[in-house]
Amino acid sequence: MLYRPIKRGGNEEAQKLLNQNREDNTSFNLDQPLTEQTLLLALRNRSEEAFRQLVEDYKDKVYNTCLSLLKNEEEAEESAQDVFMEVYRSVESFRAEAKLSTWIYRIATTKSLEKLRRMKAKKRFAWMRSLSGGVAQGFQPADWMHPGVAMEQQENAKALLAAIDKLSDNQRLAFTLHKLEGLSYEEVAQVLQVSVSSVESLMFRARQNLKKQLRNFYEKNMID
Amino acid sequence: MKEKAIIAQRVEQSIASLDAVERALAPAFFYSRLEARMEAELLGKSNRYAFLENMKLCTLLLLIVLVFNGFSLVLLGYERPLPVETAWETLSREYFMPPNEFGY
Repeated sequence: MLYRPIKRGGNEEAQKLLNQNREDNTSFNLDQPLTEQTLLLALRNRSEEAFRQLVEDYKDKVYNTCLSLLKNEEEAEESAQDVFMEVYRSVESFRAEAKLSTWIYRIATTKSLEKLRRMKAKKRFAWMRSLSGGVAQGFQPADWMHPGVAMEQQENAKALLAAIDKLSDNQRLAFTLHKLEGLSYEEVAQVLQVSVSSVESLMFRARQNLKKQLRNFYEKNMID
Repeated sequence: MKEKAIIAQRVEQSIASLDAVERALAPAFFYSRLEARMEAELLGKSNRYAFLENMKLCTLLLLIVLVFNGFSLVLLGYERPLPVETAWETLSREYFMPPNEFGY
């Protein structure tokens, strides 16, 4: 795709809409969001102001989603950057059939899963290298803790986070988006492009699998 | 029995441990770092392959190549007439004699 630099204001139409929005909100600043339609139009016209606002609005949501799936701060930041770069690249082809937030969450989950697969492949390669005498270097999520978990819950959450890793992709996505990102079942369904009943089913099976794994874990630990 | 009840309780506590989790915040200067990366990656790539995107330049280059191609085809396809051999040249070729360079 041809790179078009981010420009202040964008074209006349976008600028007009931005100005109109400013007039509606006399004290316009980044805390007063543009309407989604205005934001999209300005983004399509490579407005720097609009892109900055989009990043400000969604950076925590995107970063939290990536971090919850990748369990590594550096990788999560890189993945979040990938998400915004993808948004910037493909905003022209976004048909606005879904909400902007849904589309961004969809990109975030896809990018994170791609990165997770690459990290796992790298880990396998590092393991193979360690067998052949090389130095093993890989992703170590074992002692990772989500920064938003309260101190008194960390012991319990550690076992749960380790168990979440063993779920299937769809169950993990549904559970993570609902529990760690706080999306409703309807929103999760839109992100995963499935029905609400499918999300309910995914969540039910995820809970069952997690309970089973946690039970085994605690039984083993208590016996040991 | 008591052990089972304790395990069941720990399982429920673990499942509920993420109920009131707070959202992790993006690191400071996220936008600055994103902007720097975008400039480095997107602009770098676009500079490298910018000529491929320029349709006018590509069309012009294609036309020039086509003209050269046609020109070379016409030139290669043209058969030059063989030079007419004189009787002396035929004789010298047949008897492996060097051409008459002495002028007699």
